[in-house]
Amino acid sequence: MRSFPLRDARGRLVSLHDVRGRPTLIAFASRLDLEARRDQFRGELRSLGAALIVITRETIALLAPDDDVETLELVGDGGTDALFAHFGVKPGADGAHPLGLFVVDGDEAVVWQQIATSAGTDDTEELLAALRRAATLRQEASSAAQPLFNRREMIVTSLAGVLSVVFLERLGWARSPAPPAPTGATTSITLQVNGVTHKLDVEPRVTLLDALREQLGLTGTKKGCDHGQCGACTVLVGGRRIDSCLTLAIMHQTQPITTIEGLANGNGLHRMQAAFVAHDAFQCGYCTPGQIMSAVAMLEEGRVRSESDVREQMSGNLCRCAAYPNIVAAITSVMGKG
Amino acid sequence: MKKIGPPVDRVDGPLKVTGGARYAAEVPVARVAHAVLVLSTIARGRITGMDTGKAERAPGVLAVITHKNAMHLPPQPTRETRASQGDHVLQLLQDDHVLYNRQPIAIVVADTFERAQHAAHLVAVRYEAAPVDVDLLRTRTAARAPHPPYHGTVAQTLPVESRRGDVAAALAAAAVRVEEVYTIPAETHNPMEPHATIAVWHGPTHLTVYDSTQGVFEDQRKLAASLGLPRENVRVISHYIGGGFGTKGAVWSHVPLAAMAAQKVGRPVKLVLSRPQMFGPVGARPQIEQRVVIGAGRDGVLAAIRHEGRSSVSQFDQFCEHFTAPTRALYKCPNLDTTERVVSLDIATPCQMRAPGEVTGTFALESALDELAVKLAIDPLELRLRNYAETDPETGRPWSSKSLRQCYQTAAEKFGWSRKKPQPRSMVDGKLLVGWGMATATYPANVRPASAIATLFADGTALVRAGTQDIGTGTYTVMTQVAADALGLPVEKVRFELGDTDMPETPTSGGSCTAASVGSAVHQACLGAREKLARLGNGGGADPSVDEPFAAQLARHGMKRIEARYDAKQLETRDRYAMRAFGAQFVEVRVDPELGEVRVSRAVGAFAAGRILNAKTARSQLLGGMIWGISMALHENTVYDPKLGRIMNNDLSEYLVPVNLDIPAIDVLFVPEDDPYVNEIGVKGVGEIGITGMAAAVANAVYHATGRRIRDLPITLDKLL
Amino acid sequence: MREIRYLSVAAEGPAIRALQADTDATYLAGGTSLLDLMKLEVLNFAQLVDVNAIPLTKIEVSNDGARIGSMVRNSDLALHPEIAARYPLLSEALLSGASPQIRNMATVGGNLLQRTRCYYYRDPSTACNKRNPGSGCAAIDGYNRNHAILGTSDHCIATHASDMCVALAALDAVVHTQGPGGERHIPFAEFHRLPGDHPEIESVLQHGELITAVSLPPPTGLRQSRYLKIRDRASYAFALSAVAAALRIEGNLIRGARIALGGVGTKPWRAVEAEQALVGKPANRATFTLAAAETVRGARTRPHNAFKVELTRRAVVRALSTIRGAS
Ligand SMILES: Cc1cc2nc3c(=O)[nH]c(=O)nc-3n(C[C@H](O)[C@H](O)[C@H](O)COP(=O)(O)OP(=O)(O)OC[C@H]3O[C@@H](n4cnc5c(N)ncnc54)[C@H](O)[C@@H]3O)c2cc1C
Ligand code: SF4
Ligand code: FES
Ligand code: FES
Repeated sequence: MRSFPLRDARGRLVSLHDVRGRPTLIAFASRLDLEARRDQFRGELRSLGAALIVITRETIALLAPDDDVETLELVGDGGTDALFAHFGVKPGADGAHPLGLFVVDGDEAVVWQQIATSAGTDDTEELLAALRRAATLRQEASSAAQPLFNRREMIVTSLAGVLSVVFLERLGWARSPAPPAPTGATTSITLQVNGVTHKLDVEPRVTLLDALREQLGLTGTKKGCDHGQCGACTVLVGGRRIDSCLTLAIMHQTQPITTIEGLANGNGLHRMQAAFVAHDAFQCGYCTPGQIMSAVAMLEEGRVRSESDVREQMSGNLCRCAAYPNIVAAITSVMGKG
Repeated sequence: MKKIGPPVDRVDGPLKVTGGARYAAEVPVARVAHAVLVLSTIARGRITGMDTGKAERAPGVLAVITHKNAMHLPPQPTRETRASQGDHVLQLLQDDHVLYNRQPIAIVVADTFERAQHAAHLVAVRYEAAPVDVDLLRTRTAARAPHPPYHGTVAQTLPVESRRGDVAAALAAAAVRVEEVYTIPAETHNPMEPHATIAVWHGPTHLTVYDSTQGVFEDQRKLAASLGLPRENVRVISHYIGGGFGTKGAVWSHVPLAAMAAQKVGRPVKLVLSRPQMFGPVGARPQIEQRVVIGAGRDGVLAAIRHEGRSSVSQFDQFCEHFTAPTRALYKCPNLDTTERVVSLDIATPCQMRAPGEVTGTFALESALDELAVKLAIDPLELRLRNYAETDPETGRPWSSKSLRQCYQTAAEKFGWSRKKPQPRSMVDGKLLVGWGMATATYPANVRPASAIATLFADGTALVRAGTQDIGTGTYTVMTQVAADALGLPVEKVRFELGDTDMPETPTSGGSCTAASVGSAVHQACLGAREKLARLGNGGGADPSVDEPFAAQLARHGMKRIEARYDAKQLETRDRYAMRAFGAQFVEVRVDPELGEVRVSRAVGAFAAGRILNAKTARSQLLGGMIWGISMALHENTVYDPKLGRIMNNDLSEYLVPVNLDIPAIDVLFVPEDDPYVNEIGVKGVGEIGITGMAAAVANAVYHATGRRIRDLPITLDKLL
Repeated sequence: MREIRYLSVAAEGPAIRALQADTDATYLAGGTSLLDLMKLEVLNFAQLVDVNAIPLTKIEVSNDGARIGSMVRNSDLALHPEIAARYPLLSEALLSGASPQIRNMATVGGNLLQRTRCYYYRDPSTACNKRNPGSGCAAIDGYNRNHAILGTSDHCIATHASDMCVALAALDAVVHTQGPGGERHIPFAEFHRLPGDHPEIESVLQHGELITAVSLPPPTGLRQSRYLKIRDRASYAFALSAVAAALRIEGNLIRGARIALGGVGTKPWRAVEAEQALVGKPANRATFTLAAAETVRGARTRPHNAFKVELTRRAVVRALSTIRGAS
């Protein structure tokens, strides 16, 4: 990895750090007329809480939601070609650069990326349309009262999601290659997770937990012990709660799998999730996805008659922060409403 | 500012309940390789041979790093030259010595986790093993005075000895005496998220590390020093931490090792400790033996206390458990002797664990006071009131604030303490014996220098940043509140960011200091921003006497943002006052008289800890602390094999912590307290006080239920048969 | 975990043939014991034959007794209305084990063959005759709190950790298998082996033999029963001592008795002498105390598990008294 120091018009050094803390969309293009459309862009970006960096062969421009367009210049030689090369966006036969789109989250990690196989000459409209759509979906998904804080990271997911659906389909882009499959004896398997069918190549020894976390990027399911002793990895398989660390991914190709990411089914928060927030049923939050999945399944099982039943039937989920009384309160509040 | 802040929901709550909060190992980093540590299986000796060939040839393996081929590091600090609390002597594959069981001795890197893990098993090691000594209670090794904890001057240190008055004479003259020995086994933190590190190099000299740490700046400093890099070349990011409790307050060997591995393979590397690997190389509460001698009059007035003991430490590093600290501060007592000693054993270095010193010390002292109360037939609460310290008994300084009396009263009332029948075994519920016990809780009010930066935007929102951590304590939330309060904004308009060494410097989250330290800095930075704005003047717009929203002010001046930074300063009032938080713990247990099973059936804690920033998150902290106390009393025990020196109950099914069914309804009560001296925002911290006193309260309740005094934790059923 | 080959089978025949063809293969059911230990590299099979798709999932209860398919999940068995009504001892034992998540995964067949929780067995760096025959036993002079006091040998003192099996021992279950040599019907008392000189051999099953079902005789007179599990925390912990007890009391006399112990034996422990000490005697505390003493006769203790003798005695008295109290 290499860092690319940039300089603004006043000669100050800036870097990706300066937009850090927001999800940032990095767009590589042959042409993108940001200056002319900046107010439209800014409107969308603001409602997304995201920043945009546009990189063409000639210029680099940064549009943070609160600011004007800043033109940046790469420090050192090589021009923007070095940046294109670094992100793996290669020029086409005609010398024109295809489009590359990267969603970078607050940690500066690239969480989603697509590189176009065919590019238009001016991609401004396309990008704007995708941002608009992302912003609308976001607003629909989040309740109005949601504090700024949550927006920031949730948006990364929706940005990536919406961009892949809307923008890419319109351009007919190909999927970027999956991460290099490990060499050796992998098997191709299919998992149905949260209503989406995933094809993946794994070794048979890969647990369901590791497949979710390391292959599908569904890191909401946690690993606390890897040996069935803590419940942090609880997911629903065929509607039943199990510890995903003690089962192999390859064993679960037929039943639907639900993880914490899919619990709300796209509708804001599931009421168990909302109850956990309202009752402060966690501190560090690491056991929380497992607790919530377990609680949802427990109520489905229908054997809870008392608070003490809740305690017993939730005893497969350790919480070292010891939020137990609040976990019980959250669950009983949902039962009360149920 | 309100004394008890509103119970605002955690701002990071929605992310944590949807799986959106990304902990260290979950940050997506392109081309990341997986590293797995190989740990020693002996506790003392030398590595005489390592066969790495099988591992190297295993599919997907990128590197096997041992002391033979590890990068050569600059000289590392030793026990004598270490610079700070978190500056441990690390084992970074620089030689063939084995100093404790589960010491890192190799690191295997592969393209997938499964491959790295299997290849780690394929590394064959030959040792020359020496006999080991790991048990504090059985060792023949003499206790010694601890080395000075640090070489540096930065950190404050606590005295390991103190004397006031003439204890020998006072004890000889005392009407009654209690003299007992209390022991605590090693305890292991076991946050639910194991230690995890991702190391990413940008060229040969710049490093970014995503780490599960309670102190990004300490991490940065230690990484830079270990690897011989300038500090500013290392960036540490830690946005979410799945619990720490002290084990993540220091930097352990695996963190630099991850960076070394990443350098070796020329790719980012992710290293996550397995649960068994959490038992040894990342600290523990030391084994502790304490002797408490109390002399008192028939009226229960304390004449003298001698509190001495020893705790375990490794052979190569430094750590001293300051278990006499609470004894020096809790009660009025003219004659006091305290002594802390350490014993070097063939174990890994222990470290801070939730309320170090205070929790271990209060177990002994508050148990001994209960024994005194029994001897004198005085109610234990009354005994404590008779010895109430109106000023700090050690220095004579006034307390910046102290509301312990109200804590006793509030908790006792809620608990129904006055209905207690004093005789052991006198209260029953069917076949079960019922016991009531109480103890005092206390924790010092720590503040350390911190900085913060506040930015106000023309759209009426604010961004406040400080490098600090949220280890589940609610930093994200309470700092948002502090900032919103200072800026006069609703919390929805404020975003607080943390967990990054590129942000203003803050202390490690330990010693319950974050809310007070960072809170003060955030408060000041926000006031600074408002002041800057005010200095712009009226600019010909609205009447400046009117409370004009800052968005409008910025707009009037054609500004997009205004920013102010507050840089850490030492506080001045700190040595004029003694500063501590106090509380009272009341516990009810039910004991099966035949089977010895003990269950806590009720607990009430009342705490006065200055201003409470958020009633909801503070309550959770205290609740968690109290449950930790129950866990310490009844469950936690790190067991070493005496010959192997290896921790044998190295997982979550053998190292027991409570499950949901173990925990009853618990009442947490806040005693409002206004402290103008402790710091700008009047906060004392609530992360640790909840555990203090709790183990003694449980043990005292077990005594009341059964007539059996257990002085050796944990109180397992075999001790009551 | 080492690299593995994986094969999923949907019928008994292919399963058995797969194992016959490969001495380094084993059956994979819920995985909660097998995968746990393979990740620790305590077990290292080259091939796992997944038997989850074999439809051995029926529970049939009639006046002739019960027949339970080997792939029935522990939770489904425990909560089956007729099992809960006729064999409450079995339900109670199952529900006292592990956690709801594990019980949803664990199968009857797997539970019978779950491995010990001996700390040393689970740690490949130590000496263990069960894991590595002939290497010695680190537990005997090491940390042995969770170890057995009954049925031990000089080579192994590991406890059989199952709760379900304790109930099955008390209920006179029969284990049905299908193997290369045809069907077998193994009385429960003969199914598990004592460690003796060969602690690595834990049951009488041959390689490739597939457990197909467990059957129970009718619970005649055994309705008055109690599973008492004593542990270091309230739930999600293995037994320090467990008692499965059933009594048939007529008038004030004990006409039938069953006692089995968990957490203290190297195999699920049926206490036949204690049962004999009860039958024909008045159902009172004195009788229970005598019988309790019988359960631990011949116990061999180590420093950390010596308390289990007294604990077990008291637990037996408590379990029997509770039944008496309820009847
Ligand atoms: C954290 C934890 C806590 C636990 N607590 C308890 C407890 O308190 N009480 C208790 O009783 N148990 C407890 N268990 C153990 C649990 O009950 C067992 O792991 C489970 O019953 C094993 O069943 P399985 O289907 O998962 O077996 P697997 O792991 O799939 O298999 C276990 C063994 O049985 C063999 N096998 C499986 N099915 C068959 C078959 N049909 N024919 C032949 N061989 C077969 C396998 O080859 C393997 O050797 C606990 C487990 C864990 C992980
Ligand atoms: S008791 Fe048995 S399983 Fe445990 S170490 Fe000894 S031989 Fe191995
Ligand atoms: S990670 Fe699966 S139970 Fe702990
Ligand atoms: S919230 Fe931290 S472990 Fe449960």
